[in-house]
Amino acid sequence: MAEEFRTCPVTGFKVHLPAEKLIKVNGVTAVVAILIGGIMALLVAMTRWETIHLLSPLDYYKFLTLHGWNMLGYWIIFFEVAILYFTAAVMLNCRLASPKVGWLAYILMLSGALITNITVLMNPAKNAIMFTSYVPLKADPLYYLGVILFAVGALTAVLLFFATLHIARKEKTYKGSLPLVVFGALTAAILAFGTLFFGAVALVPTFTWSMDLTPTWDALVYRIIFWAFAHSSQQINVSAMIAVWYLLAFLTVGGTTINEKFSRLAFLLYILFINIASAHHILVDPGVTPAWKIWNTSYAMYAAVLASMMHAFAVPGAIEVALRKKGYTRGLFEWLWKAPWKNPAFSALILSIITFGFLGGITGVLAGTEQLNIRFHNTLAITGHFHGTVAAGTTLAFMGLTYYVLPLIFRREVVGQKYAVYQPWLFGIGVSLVAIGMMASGLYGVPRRHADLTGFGGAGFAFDYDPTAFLWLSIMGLGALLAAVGGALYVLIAVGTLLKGKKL
Amino acid sequence: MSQEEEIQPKGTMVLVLIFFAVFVLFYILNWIWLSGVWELS
Repeated sequence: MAEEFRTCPVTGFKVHLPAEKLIKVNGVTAVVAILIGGIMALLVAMTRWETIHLLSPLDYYKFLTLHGWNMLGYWIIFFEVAILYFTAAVMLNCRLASPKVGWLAYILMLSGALITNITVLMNPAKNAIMFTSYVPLKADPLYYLGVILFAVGALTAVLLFFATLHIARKEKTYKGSLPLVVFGALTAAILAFGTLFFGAVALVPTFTWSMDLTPTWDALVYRIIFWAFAHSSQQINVSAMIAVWYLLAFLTVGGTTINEKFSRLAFLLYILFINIASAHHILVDPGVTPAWKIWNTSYAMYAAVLASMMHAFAVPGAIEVALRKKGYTRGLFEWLWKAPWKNPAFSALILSIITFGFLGGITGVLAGTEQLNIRFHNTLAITGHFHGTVAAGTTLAFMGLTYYVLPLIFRREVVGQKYAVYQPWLFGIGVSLVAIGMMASGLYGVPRRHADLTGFGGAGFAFDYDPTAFLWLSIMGLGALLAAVGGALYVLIAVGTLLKGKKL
Repeated sequence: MSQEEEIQPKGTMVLVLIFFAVFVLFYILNWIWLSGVWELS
């Protein structure tokens, strides 16, 4: 048993080698997914940038579908599975409950991802139905099978995480209560468990309907259940991202939260309230009552937002206190100016906090408020909101963590450190421009998803947009180019480190 | 100044208040913009 572990010379963690292999393989797959999704992102953005309008409608919907699944699905969730294994096995000095189950989860997720990607590529006219996969759009059964396999694989990984926590507790591999970062990962896993259940409820009947085994499948019921899955899955990302914020605050400057109970309470608020806030997708749907809408998107949502604000205070507070303890005590902000900005993980962390809060967080509350929602609903402003949360906030946090995973788990010295300093800035500023351009043009009425903004595919009707909308779409396009450079640099550094990095 | 006072996250408090001010500003602005969607005469 002993030879299954190694001791990390930097952190002192006892690393379970089979868990380490699974962390590596899930991490590498996530990077491949961001590469594929990133290329698709550039093509999609260059089409929505009206001046360029690159792709035909069929190609546009094909690449938009692939962009959605590869970024929102595969990049994020493969990385999160790696985080779950890291927090449960490595941070608790514990063995992974069953590496074989871990490999089964990986194979299910990978095969699901491949099946869905291939079905979209092979027959886009039928299968490019986008991430939402709204009924009554009916794709080939294989498309839904791929999604279900991926979700079952992710659920298996979540169960493995719970089992590992149980073993760690039983074998007393850690003292006291769960470390805060693991507690954050546990929050993400609890949310994932419920979310994936709703995914099954939404997509299994859709799968049988696509095979004509179920005669009808109600579009409105699908929408309600689908959003209990699809928006809740973004809440998993939020919890995982905030767990990574706490981890990076510790790794970069030695920061620990000022008050553990305060941070744990914020995670608890997520478990209780954040998934209910998914109801804002249904605000213009006729099937639910105004009381239901107002409760879910007012009181419940504010409790979830309160939790985010608590974390947004606790993490920078932890950084400030740690830096003040190092002697940076002059004035209000000496600690900030003298922070380790040349460490890409630190700049990625700070950019993640700023973009998530200012771009994703504020707009999320606005778009989720029942009355205000009518100006946002189905416009590009919504796409701008979640590019602020997931594309900027979560992705930047995960990119930052990569700069520690490479030396600590892959045991390779990061190559191109001179360029790595600029990578989070290029990506962060680029994605911020994308999000701002989308939000501003959306508020001028530019719809989300649409391939042909001005021509409407020759449908015989048109809408005259305020010319300012096109300026904002150009800003979005320029931001996408910048983000693509930052994203490409991230992939080059990660892959270059694996192939050429000095062994540590 | 005691050690306890030295490690208060005062800068973070200011940053959080800036964030809150922006939040409130955008919230109010969006209600104003909403009021222009269906103007009454």
